[in-house]
Amino acid sequence: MSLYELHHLLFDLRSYPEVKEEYGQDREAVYQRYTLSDDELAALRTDDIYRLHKLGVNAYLLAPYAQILGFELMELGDILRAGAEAERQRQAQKE
Amino acid sequence: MGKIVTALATSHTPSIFANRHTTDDPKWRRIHAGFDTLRRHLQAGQPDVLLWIWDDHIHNFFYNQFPAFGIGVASQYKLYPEGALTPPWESIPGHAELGMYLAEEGLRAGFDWTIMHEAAVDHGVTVPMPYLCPEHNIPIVPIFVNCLIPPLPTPKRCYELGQCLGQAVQRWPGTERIGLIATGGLSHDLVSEKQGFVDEEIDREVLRLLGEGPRAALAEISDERMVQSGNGTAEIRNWIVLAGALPEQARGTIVAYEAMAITGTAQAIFDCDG
Repeated sequence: MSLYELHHLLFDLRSYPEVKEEYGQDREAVYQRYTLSDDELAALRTDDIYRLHKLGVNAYLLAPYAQILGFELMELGDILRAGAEAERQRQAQKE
Repeated sequence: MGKIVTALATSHTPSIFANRHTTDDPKWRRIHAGFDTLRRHLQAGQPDVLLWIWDDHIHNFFYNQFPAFGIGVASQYKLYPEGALTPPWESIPGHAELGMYLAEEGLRAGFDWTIMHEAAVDHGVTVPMPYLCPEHNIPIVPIFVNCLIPPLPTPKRCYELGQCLGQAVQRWPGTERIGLIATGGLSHDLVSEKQGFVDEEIDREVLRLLGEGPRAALAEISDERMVQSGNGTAEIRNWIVLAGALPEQARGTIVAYEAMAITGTAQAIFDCDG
């Protein structure tokens, strides 16, 4: 259910300028209105686009959110590939 | 008796807008020239109304209720604000009577779609329209297809919806000359580790079937194949609806296809007099 809530947050951020403005000033106040998992909150708090992708966020809500954060659409592929590579390396070190 | 007098299909990727002034890349020059061809084709057909097949990019609809198909029955449509992508127009005219007629015909044929008395069209309309109809004065009937929030309607069902529309148009008692436009695709995979991959194999197969036929084979493209290609490739569904709606004798011509940075970008026109 929390992925639905996360999608709702991203939809509201893109749809309503007042939510976007509040998000710029006080993210935590916005987060409190949604039932989000610890993983989702951690990814949001660290602007971790790769983690949000891995958590299952719809690309067509994630792309505008990334752009709100200041990322360029064209760089998102490289960001996700770098995230995947970093995860592979972490896994390799564990093993 | 109603008649489909012209048809075309095009990608609607925002990169078309972003590169509207790009002249030093032959690929973009071919796409820009392709829009000139599409516009001339549309003007030659002199349509009075356009059935515009597109997918809402999670603007009008959200996960709380996301229909498989929808149809607009309004007399005007707002533009969803997408920054520079959105032309400075107040609205786009709609053909409410034809919309309601097709809505009812669809229901009678078993398509229990969402009836949209209000909608804001997004870049699926506003990226191509300045090229195709810069005066934005031809009324539209938006036909919405879910391409983005799974589970999606099957390609077979999309083709059948197109057939339903094509047959209903023939029974339309008005005298309007009716045009068909589908936008979206072709292959792309946005915000993924594969972003930048363009699946030319599926793109060229879709274009071959549209151009050489048999168009009905588009209904057999598997959802799995589209998913494998990318999360935006599902927009080929819009082209499949158009394919089902085309008059049997319509001849397709692929105007352009380019594997651009993110999206397989394509344009096609259809001579509906055969």
